[in-house]
Amino acid sequence: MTIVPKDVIFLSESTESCADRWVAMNVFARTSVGLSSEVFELLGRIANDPEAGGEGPFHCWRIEYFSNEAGLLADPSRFRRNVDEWEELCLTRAELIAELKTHCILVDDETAYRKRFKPKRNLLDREHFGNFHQQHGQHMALARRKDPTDWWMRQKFTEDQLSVRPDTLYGAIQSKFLEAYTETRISEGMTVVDLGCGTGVYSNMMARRGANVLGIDPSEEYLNVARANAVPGTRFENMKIGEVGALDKIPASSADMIFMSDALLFYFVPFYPGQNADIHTLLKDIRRILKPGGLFVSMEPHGVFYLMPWLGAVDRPFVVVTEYLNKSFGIVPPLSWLIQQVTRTGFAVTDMREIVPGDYFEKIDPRGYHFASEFPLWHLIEFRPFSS
Amino acid sequence: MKHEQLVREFFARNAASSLPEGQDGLDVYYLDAGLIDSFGIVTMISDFESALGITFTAEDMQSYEFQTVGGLIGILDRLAASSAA
Repeated sequence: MTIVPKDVIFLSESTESCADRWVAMNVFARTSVGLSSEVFELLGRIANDPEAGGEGPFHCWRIEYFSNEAGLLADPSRFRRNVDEWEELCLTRAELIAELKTHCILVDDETAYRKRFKPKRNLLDREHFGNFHQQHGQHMALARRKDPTDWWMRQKFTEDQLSVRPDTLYGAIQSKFLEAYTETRISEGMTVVDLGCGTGVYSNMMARRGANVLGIDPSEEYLNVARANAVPGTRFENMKIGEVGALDKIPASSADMIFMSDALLFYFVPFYPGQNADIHTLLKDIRRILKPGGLFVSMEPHGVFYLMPWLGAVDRPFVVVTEYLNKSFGIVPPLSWLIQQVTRTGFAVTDMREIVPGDYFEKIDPRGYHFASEFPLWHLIEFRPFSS
Repeated sequence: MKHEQLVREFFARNAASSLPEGQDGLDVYYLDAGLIDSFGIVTMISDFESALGITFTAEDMQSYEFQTVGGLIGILDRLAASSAA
């Protein structure tokens, strides 16, 4: 029997110039179709009356796209906001049903549909939805033919690679917050280890505050950028973080602060299959390297709201959370998992911030600003080691 | 035959195990059989496109045929023919 799965919600997207526009969104599959009310009505009746609505023609719109191509922090809702950009289709009944099934607005077999919420088996697997990393990798490799590393750099950093793009939520949230945070937490002569430093932008920020910063990353490509832009007080080295013995070169009790941003999540959902990264090894290393009373700072994407669709009015957002403890799409650990992993290694949580964007961002992206101001996209947790 | 040879040579160079001769080889689901992994797919697509001056479409890569050795050869035959026309 053909049904609308309970995972589908309907959003009004009618405007003054474009009346009778609805979005049907499968919030689990993250797929959407634009509808007219005749199709909306058909969907409401089809389970009881397979011929409901007649033979058409029916008006609907192709609106779905991989919106995170514009950036990890771009609007993750995956449907075109501007109704003027919707691609109109005039379809027969059979064509309409096929289109709606393609986007999981209609399904024939709910059991088979449920089985699709599993990891992709390989790059060509379109049957299983997979997690965000897999969807992104598939899109970049097959649809865009772009190098994900290059994409990552461009979506986060300015062209000169010296700073985080202020026109993104990375800049408005992370950078804006860290500028103020490092001013209070970093003092002249402090020793900081930036684990997973990437291209070293935040290492440089901390060095400018007077710290001696050792930036560590497993990617030579990122480290080359970091070394090219290094400011005095920084040093960058390649170490396979999370592998046994990888950080042995760093002396015990040598760091006042260990800083990690957007790095611990990869110990929850590996970035690529077979990634060898063990959080227990990492945390033992952090415990060893920190001076007594030192500070471990972890700034991570928010375990609840990251990559969840931005719904509702621009200035009155809401979100539909479809998973938290058992994620099939998400790539960020639940808060309790993250905190427990660290506290079990001999740390206590001493502070936690849920970080919102700077006010300037409202002019750049009102929807992103209002969403992230209500539903934080990053949190920062401070941990301090117990004395014994 | 030319494209079958090209595909067989690719797997001979890049596959974790050897591709059976004859029809048995053509029926192999090369990813499911573990001949190459997702990184190998990217290499394969790029190699065939540059060797033949073709471009796989998203539909080609999503198709059932793309997943078997024989199906892949069929797609190469079709794309190369339309590219030459």
